[in-house]
Amino acid sequence: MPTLSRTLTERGMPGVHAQLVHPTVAGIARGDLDPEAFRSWLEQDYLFLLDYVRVFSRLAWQAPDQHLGDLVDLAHSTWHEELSLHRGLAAEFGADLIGAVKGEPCRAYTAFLLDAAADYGRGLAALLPCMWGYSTLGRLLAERPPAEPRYAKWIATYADSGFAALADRSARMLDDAHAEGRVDEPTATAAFDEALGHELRFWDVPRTGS
Amino acid sequence: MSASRLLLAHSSPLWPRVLKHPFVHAVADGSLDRDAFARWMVADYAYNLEYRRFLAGLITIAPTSWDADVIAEGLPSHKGDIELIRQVAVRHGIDLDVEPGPTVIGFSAYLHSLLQRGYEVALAALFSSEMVYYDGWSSVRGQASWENLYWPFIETWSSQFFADWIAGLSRLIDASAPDGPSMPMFVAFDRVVRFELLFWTGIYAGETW
Amino acid sequence: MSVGTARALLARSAPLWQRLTTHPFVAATGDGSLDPAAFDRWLVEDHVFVLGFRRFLAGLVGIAPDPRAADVLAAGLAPLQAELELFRREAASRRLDLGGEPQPTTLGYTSYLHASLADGYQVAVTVLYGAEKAYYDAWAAVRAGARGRSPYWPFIDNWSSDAFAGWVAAVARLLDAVAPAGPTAAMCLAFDRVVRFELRFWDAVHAGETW
Repeated sequence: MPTLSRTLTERGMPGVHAQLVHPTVAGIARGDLDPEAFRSWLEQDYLFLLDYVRVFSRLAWQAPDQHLGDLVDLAHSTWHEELSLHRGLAAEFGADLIGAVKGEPCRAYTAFLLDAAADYGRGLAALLPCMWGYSTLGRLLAERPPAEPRYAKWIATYADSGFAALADRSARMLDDAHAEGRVDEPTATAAFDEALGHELRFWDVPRTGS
Repeated sequence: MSASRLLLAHSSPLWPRVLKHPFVHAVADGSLDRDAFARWMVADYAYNLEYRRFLAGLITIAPTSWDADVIAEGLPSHKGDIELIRQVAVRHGIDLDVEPGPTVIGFSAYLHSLLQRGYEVALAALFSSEMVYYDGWSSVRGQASWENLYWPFIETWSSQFFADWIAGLSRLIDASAPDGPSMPMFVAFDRVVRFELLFWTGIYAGETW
Repeated sequence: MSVGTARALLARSAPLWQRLTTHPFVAATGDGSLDPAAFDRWLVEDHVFVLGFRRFLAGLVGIAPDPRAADVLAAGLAPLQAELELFRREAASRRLDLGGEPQPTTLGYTSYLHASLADGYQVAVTVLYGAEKAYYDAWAAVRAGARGRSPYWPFIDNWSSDAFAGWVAAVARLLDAVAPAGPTAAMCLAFDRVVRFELRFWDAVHAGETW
């Protein structure tokens, strides 16, 4: 029978499509997003990712032995690869990562994730829209990449099969937790839905300002 | 050649019509008129509700748990399709509680009737209908705008995920017919392709009782 | 005897019913003016239909709610053999291939009969009644004028004989037994669909139909 993660990601596709047509994402897709907007997104996402690493750590505290390596890998990859992409792009776009301050969407999303991570299964479900969502969005955008090289590189990072593999591992951990009774479907679905909403609003970051 | 490839080869004369159907191309370029759009939602809604019963029936008669697992993997997508149609219909004021056309009724009944003909025959029909959808919608995936109202439908029916599931179905077919498809499998596969084409034409051109 | 439920179904579909009993195809068999190519088409398609109908009827026997209903339904199977023989003899004399691919309406309609079994006995027996009553009324309409003149007499007689009338009446009584307070919404919808399929079937064999 279909796994919990399969059911959730199927449910989440409309949310990915909504992101695909969000003006910010559309601008990245065309390669003409106002650099000011992207700069602002980079700063907010950098701050988001710092707490995202903490979420993996909070989950690792509660993890069974067989998941420990995956969570460490996720934290490591976020820290060394995703954050390094941000630092590289920040230089190209003139973003000030050190001086950045969280806007409301970023603050709300990270607070939600850190709180959700207090419960192992709920936390894994809450992570799914970000991991699976960005991987799916990246792969869709990569079907028609822009000519603009910086945005094309950004897309390539999330379209990368290595990133997809991390998203798959994340999903499998959720399915394991579900199989072991550490989370039920209604709780997981609610956490997933809430995170997906945060994901969509996060794209508003450059419009409302930090 | 594997059984799944033989089924496709036998029906290949129909494939140009699958790849160039005016309905699919009108959806992709956004030229579908309002009446056809409404017909499409009604037809696909009614069809998908019956199709889910067909999938469930197929799971029931699946000879191994591997077969059942692979087929069941398709259930969330079909639930997703039904939900998407409901949402789109509400947003555009389309009444889904309308008697569907004769091709919808006849085609979905045909699928159902195949459950009595044996698992591999019904499975060939499932494989056929999904292949037609995947290939038909893939033929326009590259040119449909993401802002196109119908993009979620096009994307779902030409996605990698869908392709992976169909690959799983083809492996089931190959395992169920290691010496090649039986005549009833060939017939069922071909009839479903023809019914799918009539289904699309009925939506596009309008079909009444 | 009541047969109120059957009568209620017929009343609801009266406008369509009128078109069935006066269909040009059937009228032309009565006065012998039918285009032979159309008759050939009908022979081939109705042979397919009867094969599918037999599976449907057998399935209906299988889901009958009690032995008395099963008796009635099972009695309808044997005459189908004679019908099939009639088709086969006529097809042979006309050198028609009965093994060809059916038209879309034939395939859709016979599938609908069979699929109705999954909707339960109440709906399935309604579908049976609709199909049989439609044929009886259509062929009975041309019977009087056709005797002795029409080359299609064996067919006209088959579906307008006293024996066939008795069968149709027995099925109507099954409807009363299964829905004594009148037809359910599901029964009404199924009956209406059968009438519409019957009309499409006549149109398709008269004018021809392609995939």
